[in-house]
Amino acid sequence: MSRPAIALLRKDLRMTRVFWAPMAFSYGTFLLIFMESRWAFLATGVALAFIAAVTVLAIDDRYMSEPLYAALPGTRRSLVGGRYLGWGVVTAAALALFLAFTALIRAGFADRTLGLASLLSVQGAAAFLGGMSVAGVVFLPFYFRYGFWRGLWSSAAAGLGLLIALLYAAPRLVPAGDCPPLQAPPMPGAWSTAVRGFRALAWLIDTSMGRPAGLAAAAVALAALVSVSYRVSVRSYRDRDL
Amino acid sequence: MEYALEIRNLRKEYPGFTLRDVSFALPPGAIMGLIGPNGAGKTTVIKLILNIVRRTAGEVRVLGLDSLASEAAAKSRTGFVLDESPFIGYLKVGAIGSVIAPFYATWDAGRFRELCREFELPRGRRVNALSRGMKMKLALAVALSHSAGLILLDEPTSGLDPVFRRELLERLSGLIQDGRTSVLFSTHITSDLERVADYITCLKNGELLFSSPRDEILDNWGLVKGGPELFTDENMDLYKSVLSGPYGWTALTAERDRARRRLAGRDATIEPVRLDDLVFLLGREGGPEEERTHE
Repeated sequence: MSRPAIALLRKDLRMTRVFWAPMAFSYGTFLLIFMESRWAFLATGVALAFIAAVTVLAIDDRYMSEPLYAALPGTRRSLVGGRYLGWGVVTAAALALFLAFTALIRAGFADRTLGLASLLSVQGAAAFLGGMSVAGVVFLPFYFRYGFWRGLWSSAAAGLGLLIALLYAAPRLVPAGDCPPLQAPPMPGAWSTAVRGFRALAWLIDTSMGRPAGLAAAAVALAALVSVSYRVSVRSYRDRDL
Repeated sequence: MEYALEIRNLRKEYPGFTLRDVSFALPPGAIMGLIGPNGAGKTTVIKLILNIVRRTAGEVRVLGLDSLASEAAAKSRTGFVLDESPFIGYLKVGAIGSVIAPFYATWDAGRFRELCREFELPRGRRVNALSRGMKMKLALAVALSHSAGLILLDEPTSGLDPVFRRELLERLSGLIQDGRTSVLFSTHITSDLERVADYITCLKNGELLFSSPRDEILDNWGLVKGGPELFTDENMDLYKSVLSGPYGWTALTAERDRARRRLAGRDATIEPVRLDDLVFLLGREGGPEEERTHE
């Protein structure tokens, strides 16, 4: 990593340290609310980590500081590198916090948190990392192309599109008879499709993450996605007027 | 000669505005004032030098370094003050130094502290609580804390009280005494230029009107005052801008001596020009022909 990328990361850490304690407290509180469903618990953990990761970008946007960083020694590429590095650091810190809170909540409410046991494993950590990485991979190119708010809404729309595509595709990837919950309860068409999709997706993740080969394939796919996302971000940011 | 700043055919196209092929050079150890009416392209030029906005065409060299090919090196030798304070509002003055320092290999923390003291910036106060002038001082302290060879200042004196403005100008004059540091600053306050600028570059509507040594401008340019008979077709080549008013006509010429010879014995008053008159007359819409047509 280049000097400006590290400098940007140090700047981000210096700028946000005032939020660390309240964020950690909020993290634990929100996770407690969803402790009875492991998927909701995991999704909440990833969503809160996402908010933590974008907070520094929101602050820079609020104070219109981007031109300052662009004028400091370094290139646009190094600034993009610094942001991806920052995303990685926040993800790692959030994962540690997530696992710590999961263990604490599990110990404190053993009878109501049976599902959380599976999150305290390599598979659980991988699912968290995967969620945060996909969020970053989708959000950051839009951020570098359009700035913070437009990037946030555009990436949310893109993420929603991606999710809908996944929900349609997932049931087709499940071998017939392997996933009984695919028979969704009676509800309006779109909801039924969504429930079937979520269940199939959960089954696919559970099944593939249980195998080393599945984990390795997910890691390779993720690395490729990060690489493509980084290149798109560099290209988008290189020509943007700040 | 290696210029502190060399700009060749710099072009930037925006919807509704184009900076058209601007070229000028700033020698080392000199101060250049960048002037022009609002919307002339002054801030755009400074942003293009810093690569905050991307050029459509042209070349910028900072201390001999191409500002794109050697971007990091060129920027590490450039100090700057932007038109708006870009610092995070809830950070304290002292923390701004810590945030910026890692970007510069040559950052001098002691110098930053010393400048904060000189500028009477309370290191414990939050940026949000600073006035516009104080924020400008903070930006200046940052710009001067890493031994930059080129200092770019976008409207640095706006919002400053007259005392500090004078001090700032003296400081800028002091900076260039080493013969290596150069300053480019944009301003509306032309009296600042008369005090310190060695060179003056003037833009209007995205076009370069002139870029010359200040003394050359003050020696050669002038105001021609008199009746309408002085402003006939045969003399219009003398004038850059013509203004008619209730008390007669005033024209701006870039050739004072030639105007004096041509208009000798024709009841014309020819005076040296002040920079504020020059900016006013050049900044008006329409050239000499247009003004006459209106009459």
